[in-house]
Amino acid sequence: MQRGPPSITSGRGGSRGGGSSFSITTGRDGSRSFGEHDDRWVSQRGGMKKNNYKSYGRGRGRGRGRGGQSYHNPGGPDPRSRLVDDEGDIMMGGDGGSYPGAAARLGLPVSKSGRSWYKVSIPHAKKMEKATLLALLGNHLPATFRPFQFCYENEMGVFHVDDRDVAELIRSLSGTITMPDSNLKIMISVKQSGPPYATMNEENIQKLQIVMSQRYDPSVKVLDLSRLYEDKNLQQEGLYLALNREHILNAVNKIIQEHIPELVGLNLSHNRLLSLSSLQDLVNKTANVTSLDLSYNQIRDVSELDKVKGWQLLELVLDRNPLCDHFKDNSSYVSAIRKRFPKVIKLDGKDLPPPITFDVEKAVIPVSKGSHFVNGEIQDLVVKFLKEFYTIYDTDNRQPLIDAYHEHAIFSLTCNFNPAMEYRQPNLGDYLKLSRNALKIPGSETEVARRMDQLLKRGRLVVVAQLTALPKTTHDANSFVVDVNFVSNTLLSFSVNGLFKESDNKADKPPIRAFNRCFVAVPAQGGVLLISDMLTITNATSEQTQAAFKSTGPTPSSSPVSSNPPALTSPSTSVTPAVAPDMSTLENLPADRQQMVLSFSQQSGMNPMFSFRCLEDCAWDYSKAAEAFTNLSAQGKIPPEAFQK
Amino acid sequence: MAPTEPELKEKSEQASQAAKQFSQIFYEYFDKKRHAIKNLYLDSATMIWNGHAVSGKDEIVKFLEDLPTAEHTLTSLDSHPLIEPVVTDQTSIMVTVFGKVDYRDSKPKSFYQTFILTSQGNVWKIVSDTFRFLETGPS
Repeated sequence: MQRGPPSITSGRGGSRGGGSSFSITTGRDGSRSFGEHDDRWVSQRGGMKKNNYKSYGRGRGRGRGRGGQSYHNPGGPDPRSRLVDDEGDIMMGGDGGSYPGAAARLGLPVSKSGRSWYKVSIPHAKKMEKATLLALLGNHLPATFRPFQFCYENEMGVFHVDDRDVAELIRSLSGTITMPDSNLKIMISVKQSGPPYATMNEENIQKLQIVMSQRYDPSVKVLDLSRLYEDKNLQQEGLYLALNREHILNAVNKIIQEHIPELVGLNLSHNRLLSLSSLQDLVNKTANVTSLDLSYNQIRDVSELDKVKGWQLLELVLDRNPLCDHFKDNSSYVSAIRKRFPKVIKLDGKDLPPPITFDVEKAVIPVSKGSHFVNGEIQDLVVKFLKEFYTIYDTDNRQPLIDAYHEHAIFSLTCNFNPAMEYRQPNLGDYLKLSRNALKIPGSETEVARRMDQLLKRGRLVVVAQLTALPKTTHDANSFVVDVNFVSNTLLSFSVNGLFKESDNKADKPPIRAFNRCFVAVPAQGGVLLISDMLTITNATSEQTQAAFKSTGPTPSSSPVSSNPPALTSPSTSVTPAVAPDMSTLENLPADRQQMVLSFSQQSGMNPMFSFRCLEDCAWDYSKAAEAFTNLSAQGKIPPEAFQK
Repeated sequence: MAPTEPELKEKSEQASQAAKQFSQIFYEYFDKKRHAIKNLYLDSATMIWNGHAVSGKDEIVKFLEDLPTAEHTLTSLDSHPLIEPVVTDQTSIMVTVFGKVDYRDSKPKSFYQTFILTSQGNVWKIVSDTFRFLETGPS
């Protein structure tokens, strides 16, 4: 550590010395009232002189009192300031707290340097916009004025500042500024306080996420969260996020799970962590983590590491944690660590001799290969079929798919949450009520059988009617993997795995779905007819979501098995569907056809686009198209969009 | 090949019941006594495991025995009777399973697995077995 003490950690203004660490909130309810959670002080006994600091190894056995944790906050203003009672929990009384009083009661020394927090409360601030209010104050304050975590508590505007001089200035402004559009003076109360409590709402999570992505190096998959509390970008945002607050670390945990489960290295050093509890469930979700830096934290006992022992760590840094002091010598320390992380070969930056193990044959999961088509002829047939099928499937009108199905075709679908993702997933929406999942349908045997029967769509008219009722989709052809799994003279069976999204989904980021679809087909004139179509829908994994709808080309997550990409990955431009015309298609039609579209539109009430489609599908045979329209209309299979002009 | 409505209904119920029993047996064998899984496959069965094509019962079992210890948890199960059988005069069904597989040393993965079964005598046998992880495509 080259720098001086992280100023943020050196106590609270005049009341506490440099050794006092910042508080840890035990309440998880996001409350801002100090009365509702106790601020627990991490404290030290047996301070050491600061010039001892540099000669400190892992802190074992050199001239320190028992239980001393004096290594942190080196260069603090006054060694005596660290003499805080170990059990010195302080309940902050009431709103704003009576800090100086509490400090005085404990006989704490007063420090003039270091970061201290002040809570600024402005009654009736709600009458003004936040920006107006802050600008009014800012006019009288130095450029260093930085309000942290501004919020309204009922009518009162509340924020924190971390600068004593600024706090004094703000206090002096009380009653001197007039509120705009009234003649009321702005009253301001400034009190010393603990650090502000950041509620992890959507907005703050977003900001945290941005900072985390800046601190993530995807080339080595390392996330560096050291000294997060003094992150410049967070400070700019007026956010003070201390990782030793459980809800903050939980939020970090969640973001890692959702966005970087491939994480390999995690640096949590210099964050005053006491507990690793919030990391416990991250371990299962980030199986690739092999390197962990916990140095300069407050972990008191080696057993705390049990919470993350699921990580197959190769490298671990624990320097400057109280737990290091509990070992009589280096070998007992190494063995305690190895007990939890048998594969560690580098501890606190020093190489360890490799552990002695058993010669056990290790089964490995074979690397996946791409599509399997049996032979080129079948590949051509299947690829052509799928292109045509999904081209129509992804338009607004799936009716033409009727030609792909056998008279007695069967269709069903199941939908499920993705069981390998344990965090929040997009809901499954309209699919759920159609899910023919034999494991989930409730009820007696008879009821289940009846429901299973209802959900099995039989006969091509029924099948296509069902397909038409499903949400509109856009499939990512580049994601398709095809397995041809049965071929005979009379039968062809193949399955497609891939990704799609719902085109009409109004969400900001429509969920990416993963699907598996098994088709069984029989030969028919000029191609094949489907006799079975079985669809399984779930939510894509985060890796899949990241890779979805990107054109081919190297992505960080692309697997090395790219030898034979299926022909399906041809650019999607080559499958411009004839059934998705735009206005120019209509304008470029010969005059007689334009006329036909117009009359058809007038007679049917459908808009020109749908009229065009209908005519096109019926090879411009007007009466045939009219008949088709009448039939479909009678069956209620024409989408309402068709009538939107 | 024009089954009547009641016939189809009966066949799909038969398929559902077979699928349920099959999935219980298959994954229990796979997870707890993998060598016994052999009896479930037809001699000439084929398997595509994440793109690796394997044919013949013996080869399939050899491939499966080399996979790490696994624990499967099923999330969904669906089945269809096939109106055109894979083997003449036998009854065929298709079974699709979706779930999670945990190989201990790596993080659990979701998977899809589709079987085509045929009734040989009075015994269901696997004709075709297709397994895929839910993972980022073959790039």
